[in-house]
Amino acid sequence: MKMLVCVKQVPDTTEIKIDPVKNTLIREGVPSILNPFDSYALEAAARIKDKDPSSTITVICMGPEQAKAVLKESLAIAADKAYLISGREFGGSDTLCTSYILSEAIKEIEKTEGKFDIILCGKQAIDGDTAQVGPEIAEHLGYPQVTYGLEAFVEDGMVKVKKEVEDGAEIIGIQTPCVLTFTKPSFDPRFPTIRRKMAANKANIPVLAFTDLPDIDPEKIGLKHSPTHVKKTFVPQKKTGGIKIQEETAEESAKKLFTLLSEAHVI
Amino acid sequence: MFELTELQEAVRSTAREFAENALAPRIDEIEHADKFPQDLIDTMGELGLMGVPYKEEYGGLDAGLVAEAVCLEEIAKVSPSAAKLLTVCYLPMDAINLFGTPEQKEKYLPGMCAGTDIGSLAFTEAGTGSDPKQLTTTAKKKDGKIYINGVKRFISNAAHEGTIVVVARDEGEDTCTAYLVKKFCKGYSLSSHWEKIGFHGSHVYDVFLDDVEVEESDILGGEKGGFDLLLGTTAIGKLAFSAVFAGAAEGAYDLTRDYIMNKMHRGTSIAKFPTVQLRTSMIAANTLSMKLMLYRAAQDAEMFEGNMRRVQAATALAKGYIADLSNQTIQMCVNAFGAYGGMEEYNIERYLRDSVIFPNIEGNADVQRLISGSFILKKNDNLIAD
Repeated sequence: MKMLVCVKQVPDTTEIKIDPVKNTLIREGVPSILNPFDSYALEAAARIKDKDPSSTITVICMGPEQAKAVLKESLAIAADKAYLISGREFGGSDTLCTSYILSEAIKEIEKTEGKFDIILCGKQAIDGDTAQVGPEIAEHLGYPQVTYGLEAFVEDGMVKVKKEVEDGAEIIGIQTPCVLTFTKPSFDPRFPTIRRKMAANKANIPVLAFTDLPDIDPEKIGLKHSPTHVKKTFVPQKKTGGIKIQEETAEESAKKLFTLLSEAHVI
Repeated sequence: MFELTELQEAVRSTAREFAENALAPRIDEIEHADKFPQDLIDTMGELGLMGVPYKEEYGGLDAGLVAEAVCLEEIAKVSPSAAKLLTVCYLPMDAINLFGTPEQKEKYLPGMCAGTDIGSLAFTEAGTGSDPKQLTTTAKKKDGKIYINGVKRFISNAAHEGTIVVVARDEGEDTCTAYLVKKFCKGYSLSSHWEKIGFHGSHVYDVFLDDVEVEESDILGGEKGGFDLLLGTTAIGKLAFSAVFAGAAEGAYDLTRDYIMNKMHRGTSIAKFPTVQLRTSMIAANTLSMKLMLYRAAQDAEMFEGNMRRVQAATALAKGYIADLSNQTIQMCVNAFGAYGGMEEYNIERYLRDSVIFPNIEGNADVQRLISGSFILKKNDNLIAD
């Protein structure tokens, strides 16, 4: 099985603070990480490769030079090859433009790597939270897709995806080539081994620039051609009211809470 | 603190990821079941953490002793018990690595580096203490075979499948020899594990050896080479335990700092109290001094490789100092929590329970001081000058 995993470098949102005056994210000093949902997609690919070691995993990322860090991390975890898609022309792209650039890059990479059977993405990036890029890649490529995957496996030559649904999970068979997006499974992604980390540090990561994608339509990329316009970002108003219970001990706090809830006839 | 090489840094980051993401969520389970999960041992093997200092041709990473110290330190910060378990895996590997023939290294080290062969080193007996000349376990030659009889005490990992290095007295001699023995072979049996105050999940047993049969080819380090093997192996082992103790203190320090920075007393953060600041500074200084001492000893052990006495003096100096100071520093940490320090929920008491044994594991702390002290006063080497 030939697999391609799309990953993104994102700020660690657990470390992010918001500038109270400008209402913008303070990105300085915030570490960048591999988007967690992409790590689930990579793990899903790695599990397919565990069962069929002849499988290959290629990983791509669109971003600046420093985004190579998450490609190296992906190589250390499970990937065999990595490509960075980087160029000033791509800057400011919204999800539609980004997915178009990625789909064009995939077509270009396929010229040397051969056709990919499965394209795996995280369901969304934790910075933008749109969950649009994976499905849009499928549309640009004209592939079938399954979203909210938990895990994937190959059975009787068919790709099967365990998909999260509201009341549990369902298993969907899908023909290849296809696009799958992944959410958090019940298991943790594997850790990179020391040996793989060392090999990844030494890996040469080719960069695909705008000029390396001869078939790309310049009218469909970048900030200028992105149909999405952000009107405003803001911190939701903090809810006012409510009562803060902070007694001397936890037990006293619990007693007070109980009394208040009883008086309000909640319990 | 020190600039690490790319490989050392890869070891550190991997050990830290393992400790924080795989080990930390399982601490309660390990403490209460008093059992270390096999899947965590498997993961350590897969990640490469069980073969850090050993040659690549034998399945290791060839990352050196500074990397080994860094690895154990990172794990000990989260779980001194897990780091101790890894340390006692390293001991028989060090013995094989330092004293084994190429065939023995090829036979045993790859499995041990992968974590599929969990080794043990069996030297201690009820009457030996830190003196290897008091061994009563004996090896007797008969009809071209060797038979080992005796009882070994406090043997770590003895119930895991794998290889045990047994040191036994040569019959009728004042010398001893080390043997490579497969655990659970005919004549190998165990007591139930000792119930301990700390190091939960890392068990020690008495090992009964009743006519355990070995071949000449199972001799490790040559006939009558047992004492030299012990000296060389424990010289490196002292460094590993120093890393466990220093890491434990750092873990306790981190917990203590977090507690202090979040604890309010009558509306004021206790971090603003001068007495708390003063004690925190003392804890920090102790922890830092242990860390510096550890890294210096690890560098010395690498630099003087092959000079066993010099390595032993350097690691004994570190271990004697760190073993006691770590125990004392962790007690200071517990005190900083006030009455909460004794409560399981606050996690710090676990470090104190683990640290109780620090001054008496792998050789008593005073014995370490005697080893390093006598070296300093005998040799033209003060152990400190660069």
